[in-house]
Amino acid sequence: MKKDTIKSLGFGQFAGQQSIDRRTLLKVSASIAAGATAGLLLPSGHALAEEPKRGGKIRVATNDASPADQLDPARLNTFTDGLRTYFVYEKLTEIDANGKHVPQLATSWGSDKSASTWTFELRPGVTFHNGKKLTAADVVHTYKRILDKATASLGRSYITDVKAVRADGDSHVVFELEAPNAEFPIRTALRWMGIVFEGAADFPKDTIGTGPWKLQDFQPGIVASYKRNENYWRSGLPYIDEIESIGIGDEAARLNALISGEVDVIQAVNSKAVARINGTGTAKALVASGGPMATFSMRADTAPFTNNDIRTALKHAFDRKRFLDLAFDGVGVIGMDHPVPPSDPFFNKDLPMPKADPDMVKSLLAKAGAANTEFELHTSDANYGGSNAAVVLGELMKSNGAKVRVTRHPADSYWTAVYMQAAWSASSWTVRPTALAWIEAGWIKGAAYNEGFWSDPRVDQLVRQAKQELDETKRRKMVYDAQEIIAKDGSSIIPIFVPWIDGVNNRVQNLKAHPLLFCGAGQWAEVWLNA
Amino acid sequence: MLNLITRRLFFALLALFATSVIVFAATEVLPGDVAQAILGQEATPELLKSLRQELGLNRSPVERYFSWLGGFVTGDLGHSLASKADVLQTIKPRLANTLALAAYAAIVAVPLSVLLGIICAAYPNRLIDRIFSVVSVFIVSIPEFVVGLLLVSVFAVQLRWFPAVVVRLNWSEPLSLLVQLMLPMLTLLCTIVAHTVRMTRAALLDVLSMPYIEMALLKGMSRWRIILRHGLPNAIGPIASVVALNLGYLVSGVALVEVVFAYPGLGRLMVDSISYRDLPLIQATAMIMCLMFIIFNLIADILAVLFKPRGASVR
Repeated sequence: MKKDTIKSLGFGQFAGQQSIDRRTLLKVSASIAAGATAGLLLPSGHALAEEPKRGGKIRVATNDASPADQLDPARLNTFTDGLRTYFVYEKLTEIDANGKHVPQLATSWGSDKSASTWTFELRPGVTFHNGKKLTAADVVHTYKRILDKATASLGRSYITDVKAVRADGDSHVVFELEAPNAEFPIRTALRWMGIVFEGAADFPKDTIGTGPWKLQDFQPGIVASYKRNENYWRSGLPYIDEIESIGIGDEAARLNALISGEVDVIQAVNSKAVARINGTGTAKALVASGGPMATFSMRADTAPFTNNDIRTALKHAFDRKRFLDLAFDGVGVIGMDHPVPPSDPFFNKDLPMPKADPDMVKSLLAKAGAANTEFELHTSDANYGGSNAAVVLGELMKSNGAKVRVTRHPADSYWTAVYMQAAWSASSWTVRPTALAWIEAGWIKGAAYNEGFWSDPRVDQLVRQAKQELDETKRRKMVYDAQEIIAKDGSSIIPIFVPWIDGVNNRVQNLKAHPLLFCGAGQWAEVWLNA
Repeated sequence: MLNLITRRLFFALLALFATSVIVFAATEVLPGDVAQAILGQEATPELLKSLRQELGLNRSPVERYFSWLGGFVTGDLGHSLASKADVLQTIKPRLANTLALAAYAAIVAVPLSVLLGIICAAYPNRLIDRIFSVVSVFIVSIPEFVVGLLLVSVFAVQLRWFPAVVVRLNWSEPLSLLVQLMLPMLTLLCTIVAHTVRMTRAALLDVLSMPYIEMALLKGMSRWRIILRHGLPNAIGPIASVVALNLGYLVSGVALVEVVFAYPGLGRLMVDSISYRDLPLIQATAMIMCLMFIIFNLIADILAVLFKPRGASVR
């Protein structure tokens, strides 16, 4: 990108509107708005609420802490790791509790006309916990680490299209992509993209970010504690002085700890616990509007699922509402056999929900010559809803004329020994930030997690086009079409999106459920405690 | 005596070696490796490859075993595969926590259960014996995690007398530490007291049926004098071995109790490392637990020899 275009970035972008699409414009104005309120102590939305209080310690119990706990944002893997990175690190951009893409360490960003070169302007006056000033070199180092295959970062799969990342002066970072990607900026909001300082490579020693809290003490699998960052760039924030995150793997033990008041927040509880927590009077269940999805993918390359009639029959062999009620106590969002959640702005609202239809099941199976075939569904307790979800699904399908046998496997070796090997297996996904990211993750040719071993040239083409398309209306149309094809011909049964459910003591104020992770994704800078 | 100890130590070394081979082989047989365990559902061949490369999993199992063994005999326990942390440093605080809980439980449980056992043996088949027997059989048949959850729901959730989870042990204040560890201690107590009471009773009754006790009875000695002077010293051998076995259990069998209380001990560390296939950690915890068992059994043997009924030869 040339120097003169650089000048037209940031606030100056309003002047050079010719090269800017509506979406970028919206983002820039959002960033201005955020910049304007950043200096205020009270976000406007809480004017009527109670006055926030400074101080106090919040104790959070997480579900999957282990001796393998990570503090390296690039290498984080578990929910515990994910939650903790939000305390210490920040990213170029962020997705807020409403699912909106907002600025964080970058104040603004924009691309060239082809959406293949993206430039981010960094927020001035941000320092790391060690006093070092945030510069473009830190961002470049962060992204080079993630892109380095030797780092083995799970975040890499989201940004493999980055050809080069370089600093342009101290305050601008330029990403050159191999192919256009209109959604690239959103990917910088993912939790693996936490910005570390230039040279950081030795964790946990280098656990130094720009975030609201500093790491104080770290005992993998047991506890980690964080102290308030007195030099945080959002002045007056955070309200909480100290955070202690404790690993309590057993759900009953987590519930007991919450109810007896020994911890303030518990991450990850079953839908069955919602009523129990709300019944205590001292705590409430925090249920997110979105969440990860549970899939039951059939291998389209393996008999009998090579035949789309069979796949379609199974998609119509159960009532989705009943499945939700029986397997997830009615807590969750019904899916439509494509990976886009209803909370996504690009969710195809025109597709009908597949209904239970015994006659259709019967005729399709007969047509496929599989009227008496028994379909074996593999699952384990490693999946959302435990293996019970698959058992419920199997029973519902049986009652509608499809013979299904459910086989349970041990949880700890499920992903290795069964998943993507058995012809039909249950799977549990983490979330993706956008509709396109979901589709790209598993429903195009060569996708990293193509668990259905299915692809369609039309979908591949639509995804390619959509990524080049900076016009949101046109892009939406393409994503709509891709969803329709996947729902009709694809080889995944996607009956439900499982919300993140946590338990929160009533003294914790302003903790908002987040669509991307448990516990409000750890975006706790504006959380405070009542005595 | 010395002879016995040296012989025992030799077998202890053999047992340790055999354990390490068996644990290694068993971990190898489990499906999946640490790279897959870390990456879970999101594992892709590419990620797996780079992680395995980094962790040295490309080497043959035999090669990996001997490189671990080489380190172990020179006192280097190696580094955790999953977290890269030093194994010794990871284990030290966990071992201290487990030993603290075990010691607490033992100090309460051993005198209590031996005393109850003696009372039962003193009044065999009388009401008090029956009551203790029934209650102890009842308790011993409830799994310890159920006992733990019951105790938590009554004393932590309802009454709020004791904490439901133990995360950081309050070493600086011994008194509050005792309160903090109360529920896990009581849980362990339930599982070992019952067993020890039954075995003490049996061992003592065995001795009390000997002809020389009959002689003492005929001499007109009191019940308690017979039990304490003539019966108990001769029953200490079997009682000691039961106690030692139970102490070994307190260190190596507490994984479930530790999970219920989120207790940062060795058992939970082992469970976690197994689910991550983290071999250096699994091996080290297994070695420690095996060592504990050997030590306690050795102590039991020594005690048995020392308190052997008069007349038997001391080898």
